[in-house]
Amino acid sequence: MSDNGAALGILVGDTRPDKVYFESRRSVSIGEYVVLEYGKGRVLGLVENSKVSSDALGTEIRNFDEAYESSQVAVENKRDKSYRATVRILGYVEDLRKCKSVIPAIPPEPGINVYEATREDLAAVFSARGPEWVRVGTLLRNPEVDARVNVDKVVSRHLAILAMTGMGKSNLVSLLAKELATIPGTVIIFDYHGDYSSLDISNLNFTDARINPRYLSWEKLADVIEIQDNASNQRHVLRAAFTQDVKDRKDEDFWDALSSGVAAERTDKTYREASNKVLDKIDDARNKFKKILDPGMHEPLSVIKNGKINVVSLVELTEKQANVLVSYYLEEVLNDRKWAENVKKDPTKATRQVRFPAPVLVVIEEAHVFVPKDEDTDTKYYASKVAREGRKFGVGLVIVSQRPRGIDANILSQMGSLAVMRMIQPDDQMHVSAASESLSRDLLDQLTSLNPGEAIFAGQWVNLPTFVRVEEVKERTLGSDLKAVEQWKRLDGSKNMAKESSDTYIPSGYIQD
Amino acid sequence: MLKQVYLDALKTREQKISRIKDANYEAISKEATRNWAAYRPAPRPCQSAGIDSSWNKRAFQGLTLYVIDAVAVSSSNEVIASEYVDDIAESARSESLETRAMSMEAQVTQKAGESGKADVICVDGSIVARLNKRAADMAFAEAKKYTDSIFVAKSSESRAQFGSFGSRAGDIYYYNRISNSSAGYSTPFKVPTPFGTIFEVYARLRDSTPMVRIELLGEAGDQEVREILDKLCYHSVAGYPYCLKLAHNTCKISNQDIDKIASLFSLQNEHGARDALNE
Repeated sequence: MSDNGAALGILVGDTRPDKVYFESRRSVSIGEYVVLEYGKGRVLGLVENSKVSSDALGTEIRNFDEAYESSQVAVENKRDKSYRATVRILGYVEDLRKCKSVIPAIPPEPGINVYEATREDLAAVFSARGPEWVRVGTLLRNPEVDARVNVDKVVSRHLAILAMTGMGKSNLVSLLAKELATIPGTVIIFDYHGDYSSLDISNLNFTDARINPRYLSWEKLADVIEIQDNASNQRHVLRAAFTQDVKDRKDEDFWDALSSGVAAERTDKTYREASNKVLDKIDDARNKFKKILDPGMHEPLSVIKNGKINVVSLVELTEKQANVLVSYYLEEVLNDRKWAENVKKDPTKATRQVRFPAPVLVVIEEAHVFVPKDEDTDTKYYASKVAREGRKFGVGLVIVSQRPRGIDANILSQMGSLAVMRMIQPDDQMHVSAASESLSRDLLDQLTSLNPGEAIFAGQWVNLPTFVRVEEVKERTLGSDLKAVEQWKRLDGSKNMAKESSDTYIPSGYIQD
Repeated sequence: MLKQVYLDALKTREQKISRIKDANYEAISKEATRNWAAYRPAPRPCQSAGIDSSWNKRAFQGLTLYVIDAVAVSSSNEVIASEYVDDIAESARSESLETRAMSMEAQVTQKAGESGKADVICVDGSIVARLNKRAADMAFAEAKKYTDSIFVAKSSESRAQFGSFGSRAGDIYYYNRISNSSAGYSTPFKVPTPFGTIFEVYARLRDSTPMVRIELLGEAGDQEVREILDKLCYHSVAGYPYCLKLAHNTCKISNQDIDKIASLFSLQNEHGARDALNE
């Protein structure tokens, strides 16, 4: 049995098996770990709430003068302050070392001592060893203890990273990518804002999003070439023109055949105008989206490399195009992994090559756009499928969002692990609370007090709900807030430099004042 | 029943209030104004101690459990001296418990004085009020224990100063009216008692705070009063010495406390004296 840390306080009030209160000799930080001795041994607890009150400076103070006088007497009153903390019981230390949480059935008796948890206790619980555990930072209140997460659980049970803008969501994704790159794992990050374009880690594969329009349904093709949902005539024309014969054509031949098919619809007076518009759209698509829409590409998934961190840039795409692309990739990855599992069971069925023989982790940024609460999107359909079936077939999903209340509740509830950072909106907190069993109300109440880079980790990727200071990824330069003033000044400076340098080429007196 | 009381209050309020502000009111006010000295105390660092006592009882059928305690608490919340008693008796009259609590207060006051830990010792209430109820010899003996202390009362019914003017309210009422909520004090007023000379002073330690009545034992001139007000002001909140609040909080015996003690005496199953009323 380990030694206890410094004595911190004494249990007071009513106790429950899962929750106790103690009066401390000093103020206690939220997220601090404590140890109590009762039942069959030493029990670990997490400080979920902490309060300091003053006898002299209570809520009954009526005015400033009274507050001032009370503050004077409070200084001299040795018993003026009360340091009260709420502790969530996490389980026996010995069991937690073995990744099991066993909470004593009987509540502790008021009056027993509360101790600070020692480094050894915490390291045994939070710095688990093994190839599946990767380091992501340190415990928030115990920086000497590493915080590690279980990557296997991320892939099999999915992860949601939720926080306000600027709190470190992309940094955490980059950190996970950096750690997975060393394994090396297969990750696909759909980069909607170009946040990862500056990532400089090993095993990276930057690629532009590319799809073969021939493999799309007519509805998705309509979305990609930006035909509005309510443009029924245009959609009719496209549907009529997008025949199997057209789909069989490759390269420029495909566009030509499609254009001919659309042009043929002009014979019908009703669709003449619509046909012309669709032709314009096809023409735009051929030029504007040349890099994205490639009717000649054999296998769109070929841009994704196994054992690499694949950053798929969606920067140049509209929301609808990005949605088509993400859903397409999700569908294809899931189907390929299903195929891979079938072939593994019965190698004689291997009629085509498996593209992803090992699990794949897919990261969807701006999840509230791609898997929205009140709208049905293709990505939402396939993300939901991955969330449900991914565990069996080795497709993990990481959804990242600054607006959790905008994410589909069904998908959010299937995220077995959570990294929640600073979040002020009560609606967001409620939505996360409703979707997760592992985050208590007391823990969620602390979200407003977190600083950038600090997070609550909960769910299956950690042994216990944990306050973590996430390590900053130095190999990433973008993502921090734009420094507008600095950039304007630089621009102004370069203007002057340009003027000065051009002045030297102009003979004096050439320009009249 | 209460409705009738409300209606009566509405009907007779003018008449009842005018009884206080009667023909003598102006004369008393003039006298009070003459006695009042505006003075804003300058807090003087010191150690103060507050003395207070408490008692409570729980009556069962045929016996009564009672507890009395008294404490001297410093402004740093250190208990300098304490006394207590708890017992089960066939009866415990409130007057008797009150008297015993006062005696215990005298003892802790004496101990606090002997400890040398406080520059000013404040006792809650009035020495005149408490010793007037005692037999002369006992009062005399008890008064000796209070030599180094002052008494501070939050309110008073004393009419020693304006009773001869035909006052209809306690003296503190008139000082409150004429002082316009400003800090200051009334000229020390000599109150002769069988157990020695006492000076009473009405004072407001800070502007817009409630007035308190202070009793000083022995001779007290303007200079002494100001020194005491300066010391009291140092550890006061809203015009009241904080050590007295600490003493009150420390010694208070609540109903919950007496129930706990009854449980320790295994009296919880005894029939209470007021069980028939479900109280």
